Amino acid sequence: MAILFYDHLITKSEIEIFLEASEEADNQKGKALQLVDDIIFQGIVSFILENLETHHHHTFLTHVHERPYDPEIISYLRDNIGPHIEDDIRTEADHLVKMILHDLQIQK
Amino acid sequence: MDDTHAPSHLALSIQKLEKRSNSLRHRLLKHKSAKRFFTKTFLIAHELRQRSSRLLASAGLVGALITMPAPKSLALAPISTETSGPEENTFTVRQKLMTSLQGILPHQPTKLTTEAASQVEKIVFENTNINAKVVLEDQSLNHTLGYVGFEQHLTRFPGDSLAQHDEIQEAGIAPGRGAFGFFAKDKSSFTTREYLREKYYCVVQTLYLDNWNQDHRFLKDWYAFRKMIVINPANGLAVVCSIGDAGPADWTGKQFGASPETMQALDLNKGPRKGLILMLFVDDPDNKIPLGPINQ
Repeated sequence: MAILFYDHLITKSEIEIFLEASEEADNQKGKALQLVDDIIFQGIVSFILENLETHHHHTFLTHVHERPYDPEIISYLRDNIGPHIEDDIRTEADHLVKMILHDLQIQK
Repeated sequence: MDDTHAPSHLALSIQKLEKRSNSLRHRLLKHKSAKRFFTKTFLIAHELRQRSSRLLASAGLVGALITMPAPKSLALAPISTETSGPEENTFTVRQKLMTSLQGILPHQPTKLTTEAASQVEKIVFENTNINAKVVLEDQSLNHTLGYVGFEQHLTRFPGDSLAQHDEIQEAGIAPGRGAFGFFAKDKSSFTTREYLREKYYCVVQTLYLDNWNQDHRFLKDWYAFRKMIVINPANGLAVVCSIGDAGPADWTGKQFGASPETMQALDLNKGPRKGLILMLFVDDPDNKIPLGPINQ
């Protein structure tokens, strides 16, 4: 079940596998996963706000705040941004995941 | 943990991720409307996930309550001994546990004094036949009584998913493993023992133990999946569980955590999903006491 409205559009298994394979302490891995979650959330919501007309921002954010899981959020975005919004979110998420993987794979 | 070495690869990556997160946060807060919602916390996604899980759990429970059959009698656990007297009215047993504890426990997080600990251990034994201990093998937690929070499911083995957990899926599943690792090293070695350990797991603040940093290796092994008894003194409900994770962080105002099923068995899965509970070690060297609710 999606806990955040966009979870079904995000594929971050590569990141999870990368961290899982790491021999670092679990608390470090947990911290990294939390940052990954935040980066994706902030990136996706920024992307949506940049594509949504300003007068819809409050409604959208209120909805996310009150019912973060609600599939109606995607319907709302479809109506107010366009029918392609799910594809756009996927693309944005892929971009964010690539950046995260780059950050994770840096060498000392 | 020993942090005297140079930063690890992952620590360096985390620094990069923090920079990335800050930069995206600036991007987000450029929108005036976003400032109203997201300035209070630096753990936006984490807090939203928690809120979302709570809402979903509440919704699920509403459905469950409507369809749930009337509860059976509040039966005493089948942990009888030869010394048990005639079968008592089960409600009386739970009520006795509740009323006896309520009279001696302060209503705030605390570590019980030796005298109070002895009284509590005696009451628990008399009403459950479980040998509960505040101090076991010289080990004790910083709190005996503390606030417990509703946790998510934990990943039991590599490749485990929320869909494979059979109850309360609305609670979601925590990212990553618990502090003591997977319950089983792989799916083929996942047995009923590991299944029950996750189903009835609890979380204690091992990370704040005075000797945690010095004796980390020993303590981690000692606490991992250690059997505990959790009692809600407000209603006398009790669950035998095993330690599956470390936490919660001090800033949460909670001292313990518990799995969705444990919280449900304690009747702490509604409303704020938090409550003051008693957390004691179970002295069960022969592993005779099963995990799960003991007086429902």
